[in-house]
Amino acid sequence: MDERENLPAVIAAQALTATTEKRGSLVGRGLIALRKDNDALYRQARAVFDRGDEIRNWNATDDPTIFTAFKIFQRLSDKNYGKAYFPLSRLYRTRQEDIEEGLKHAQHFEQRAVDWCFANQANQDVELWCDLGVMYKDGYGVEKNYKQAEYWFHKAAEQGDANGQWQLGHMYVWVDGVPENFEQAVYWFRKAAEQGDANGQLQLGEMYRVGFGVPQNGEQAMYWFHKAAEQGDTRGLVSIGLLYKYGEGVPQNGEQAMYWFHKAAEQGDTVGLVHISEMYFDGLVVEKSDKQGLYWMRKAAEQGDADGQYELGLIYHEGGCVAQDYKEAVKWYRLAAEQGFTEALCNLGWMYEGGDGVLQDHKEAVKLFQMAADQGNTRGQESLRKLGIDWEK
Amino acid sequence: MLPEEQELTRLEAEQAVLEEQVTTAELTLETSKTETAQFQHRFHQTVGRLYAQLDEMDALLARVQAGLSPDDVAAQAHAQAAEQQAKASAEEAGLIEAQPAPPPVITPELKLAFRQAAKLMHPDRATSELERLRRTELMAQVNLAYERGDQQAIEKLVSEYGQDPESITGGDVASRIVKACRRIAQLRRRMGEVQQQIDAMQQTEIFHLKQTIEETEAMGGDPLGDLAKQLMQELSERKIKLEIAR
Repeated sequence: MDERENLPAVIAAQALTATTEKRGSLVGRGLIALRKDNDALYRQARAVFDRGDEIRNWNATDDPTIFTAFKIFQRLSDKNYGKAYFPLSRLYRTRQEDIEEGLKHAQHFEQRAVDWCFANQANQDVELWCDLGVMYKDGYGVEKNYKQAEYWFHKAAEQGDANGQWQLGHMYVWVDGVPENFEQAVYWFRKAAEQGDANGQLQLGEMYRVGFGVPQNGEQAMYWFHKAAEQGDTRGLVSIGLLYKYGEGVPQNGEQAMYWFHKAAEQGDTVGLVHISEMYFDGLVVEKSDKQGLYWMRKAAEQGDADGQYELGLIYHEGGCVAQDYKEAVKWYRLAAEQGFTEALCNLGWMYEGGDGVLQDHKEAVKLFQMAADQGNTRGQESLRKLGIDWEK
Repeated sequence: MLPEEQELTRLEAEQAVLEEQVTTAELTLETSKTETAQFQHRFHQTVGRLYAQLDEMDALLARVQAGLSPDDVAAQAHAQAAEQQAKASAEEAGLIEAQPAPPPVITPELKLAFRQAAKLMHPDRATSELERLRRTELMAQVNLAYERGDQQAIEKLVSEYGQDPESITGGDVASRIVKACRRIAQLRRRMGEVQQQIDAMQQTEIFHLKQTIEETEAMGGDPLGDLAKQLMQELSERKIKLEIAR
């Protein structure tokens, strides 16, 4: 038996120090309860980044959520947290402020991202492999190489990563320079879709709709679009509307189509508005009404939909249902062009070339065509050729 | 333009740039201070108050347990510690008023520093009205520092007194050059101080807490609400425990 246990004074002293735990300040306790380590911080910001579509053309004032994620990635990069390099480089590239500075930063971080991903490729990290695949696919930070992209996506896909599966399928269908392989694409889209990935569900539905790599089946298309829509993906709602509009897998039904487009619009998806407008213009399943068509297209354009802005520009350009107005046309083309909409760049270019609704400016026109051509727009390339300029130089 | 005039122009331009930088830094600091204070208030309203209640409950519980076993030294000590914690927490959350700080100890060194300062810059020793006003203002600062018992502040005022650009009143080029030089040095000092204060503030717990919470909120979370819910849960558990103990 330990002799000290017979000495009550000592025991009391021991117990005394044991019970007076310090709890610290309230602020300190709040901080302990809420503080996030680097990994948790990264995951939080990455979740914002992974929403994908929204990060195109963002800026600090209109997209505070993305800006916050951006600042977190910056801070993590300062601490040499490697996984932050890739999303940070992307956000620099898509930010619509300080564009020249942003491009420099983007290239810097792309380089670091590639280096880091390479150094850590042995990690069992599907996200890292997908990031590497995307960089190879787009040729950012490394020379464009579809074989390599395919390799990394495949590696992630085989581990059951939905993003890798979707990326792989997407390459087989959509990327020029990769041999088309619809069967493979369907195989991977299905894998992603079955584990609840909305991108995978939409693509699989689309494959069923057009019958590529799988027998055409409107009901299956409807099923997968519904799955995506149930997750709150508005693209699913729009796709369902289109099935009703064209009567694919369901009886053609204008009211139903209208219902689904409206539902998408209510959830903030301006694409729904563009489709409503087009329904009124083409009069396929509802009574044709140019007035209604114009109303909804304007609504989409005013809410910043690039497609809507381009279409509205076209309406004013051609006249017909409104008085022809080149100045209005230029205004809407310009807004769409600012969002990187290549068709709008071409049309705006021709307005400058002809001096329609804007002071004639050959140089500006060439610049706009060049911008469109650089992004692979064939009309932009064609336009330059017409002006006697070799677009590849 | 004479070379000294060129130099004066250059110095004045440098001074203007510095002044702008200092103003910007000061604005950043003050804005950040205010925002932090607002945040602190919000934090205490939503969460801090609940922590304080929790500590209060624990103190009651400890007191009950100590009452049940009056001979247990450890229980007595625990109860006392818990009560102190509860009081500190309540003060921090603003639920009870904090004890005013005890008046400063007047040391002989502090007295000496005050004497030095008064001798050096007493308004009565001014030779012009302008100079008298400048000295009055400085003396007021010395008095305040003395009341706080802040010997360092007095010593700083004394050491800066000799370098004060405002003591140069001449309008000739030479005087203006000296004045600009002193002003630039003063601004650089100020810039360093402000930067230091900003850095220090960004090291504080409250700043980190604010950053964490605001970022999570910007990305759609409600960390304070979640924490409050969790604390309410703990509170009701404590209440039951207390009822049973009684």
